[in-house]
Amino acid sequence: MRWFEQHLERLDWPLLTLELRRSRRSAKIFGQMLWISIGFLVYGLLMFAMFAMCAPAVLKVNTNDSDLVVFLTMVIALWRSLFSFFVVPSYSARMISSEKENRSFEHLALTSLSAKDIVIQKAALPIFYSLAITVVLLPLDIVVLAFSGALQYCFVGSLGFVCQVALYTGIGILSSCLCNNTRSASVITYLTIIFAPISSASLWARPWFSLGALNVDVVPQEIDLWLIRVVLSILISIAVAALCFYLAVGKIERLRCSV
Amino acid sequence: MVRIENLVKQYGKLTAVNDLNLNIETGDIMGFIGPNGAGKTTTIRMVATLLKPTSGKVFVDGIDVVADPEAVRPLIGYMPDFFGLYDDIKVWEYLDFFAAAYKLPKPKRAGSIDDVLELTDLTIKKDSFVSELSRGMQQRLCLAKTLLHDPKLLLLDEPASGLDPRARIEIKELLKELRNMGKTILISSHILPELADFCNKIAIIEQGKLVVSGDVDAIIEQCRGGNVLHITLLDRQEEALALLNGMDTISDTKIEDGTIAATYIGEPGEHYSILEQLSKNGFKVTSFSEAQVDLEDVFMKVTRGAVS
Repeated sequence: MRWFEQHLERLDWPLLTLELRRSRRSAKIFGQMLWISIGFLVYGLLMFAMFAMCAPAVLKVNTNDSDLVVFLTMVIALWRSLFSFFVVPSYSARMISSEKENRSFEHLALTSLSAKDIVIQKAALPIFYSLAITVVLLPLDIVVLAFSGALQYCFVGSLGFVCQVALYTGIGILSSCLCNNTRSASVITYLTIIFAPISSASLWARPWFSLGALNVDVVPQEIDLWLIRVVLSILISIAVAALCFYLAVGKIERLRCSV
Repeated sequence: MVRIENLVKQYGKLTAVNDLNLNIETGDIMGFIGPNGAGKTTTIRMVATLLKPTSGKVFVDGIDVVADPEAVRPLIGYMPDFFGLYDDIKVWEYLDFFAAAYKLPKPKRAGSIDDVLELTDLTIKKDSFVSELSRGMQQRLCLAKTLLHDPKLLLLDEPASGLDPRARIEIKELLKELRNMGKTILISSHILPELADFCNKIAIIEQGKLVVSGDVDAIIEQCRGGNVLHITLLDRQEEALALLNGMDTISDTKIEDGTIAATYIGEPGEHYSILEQLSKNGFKVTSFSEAQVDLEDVFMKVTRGAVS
């Protein structure tokens, strides 16, 4: 991750570099989330190992390779959802609102950064992190999905995750532009995400898609249906995220003249 | 450098700035004075492109701040009365962030950061966290950030507010250095004697309206309206008062705390004749002095203490 961050700093995006330095120091959000997710994976594997050992005798449940694959896929899908739902919105909701709260926005407003620069650089961190996580998890995804012969879907699933993060970041940054304090921005972000059917669909499509892709008690037509849903949700996520970023740029442009 | 024409800013029914006209020439250090709520900060923020005027025009270096704010921003360094700092990063990181945000070329950044740190006497704090700095140092860091891109015009809103006497003196010395560097400065402050030290012009604003503006010395002279002489006698004060009232060059007399205050309206520099006449008439004068008029007197004289 450090290697990844060093390369990001070379982009010479001041807001991104600032956020990297701050998040690294305060060991908040992403560092914590990385450890939580690693812990979650290890915990999940241990639980499954215990289940695999005890279940046949106690519950008379048949465990085989397929169950392991299902479980791993669900773990990956679940923690990705945790990351994108619990971390990204709360992080992106405080982007501009915290600047307004501590009045650092008026310093930012006078720099040579354009409104577009501000939005892109502020939003870059969670999106880059989701890309990094995707890169890290891709081999695991490939191994897991190779078991079931559904390898072609893992790339779609990873792309779905990144788009979902982009969508939540877009909603978060737009809320943070509209609100003067972080709490209101977070509330608006979560409400929007919970009640927006598009984001909800992309949220639950992923684990179901993973199950479906494994061909576990699902006929091929249903797999194709889930795939279509996921691709659609990706496209809609990209469109909504782009709209949110566009609106946020306009709002920042107006904010600069009414700080 | 700055031309303000018929500037108006309204917040609903409240008129914060009302038909303000002001000129600041290149190299001027203008003290912007007014009671709380007079419209100083609103005016400065409009010049800084952070607020849109309701009507009127502001030009910085000939550029309209509303029509072309992007062109104006590199020319100005604005230091607000309340500075929002990122306090979880180091001093050099803070300055590096703003150097990059002002799009200073990467090879030049380290040099510019060292220069402003030296100017603000913060070099030894380069690797300290912003949160570890005292308020005075944070104020200087904010000023360092303001100077990074070498702006022509500095807009300083209450730069010494909330500082202890030592930190105030440090800021004052720093401002004198900036004056010597040829910067044009618009500075608002409540500490009027400090402004008088290094401002060559002042503008006094009340209820959003400009009350008076111009050279400090000329305004003080204009407000003087006659020199007040303070005369202390050993005895016979009432008799002396009668003598002074009979003189053509004295317009007004009164006794304040055992001292006679007499307003002299004769030729400037010839008030010694009053002392001569008092001595001739046998009065025992223990002290004879001309009252000093400063910015505080001017401020109290021209303002009524009203807010908009």
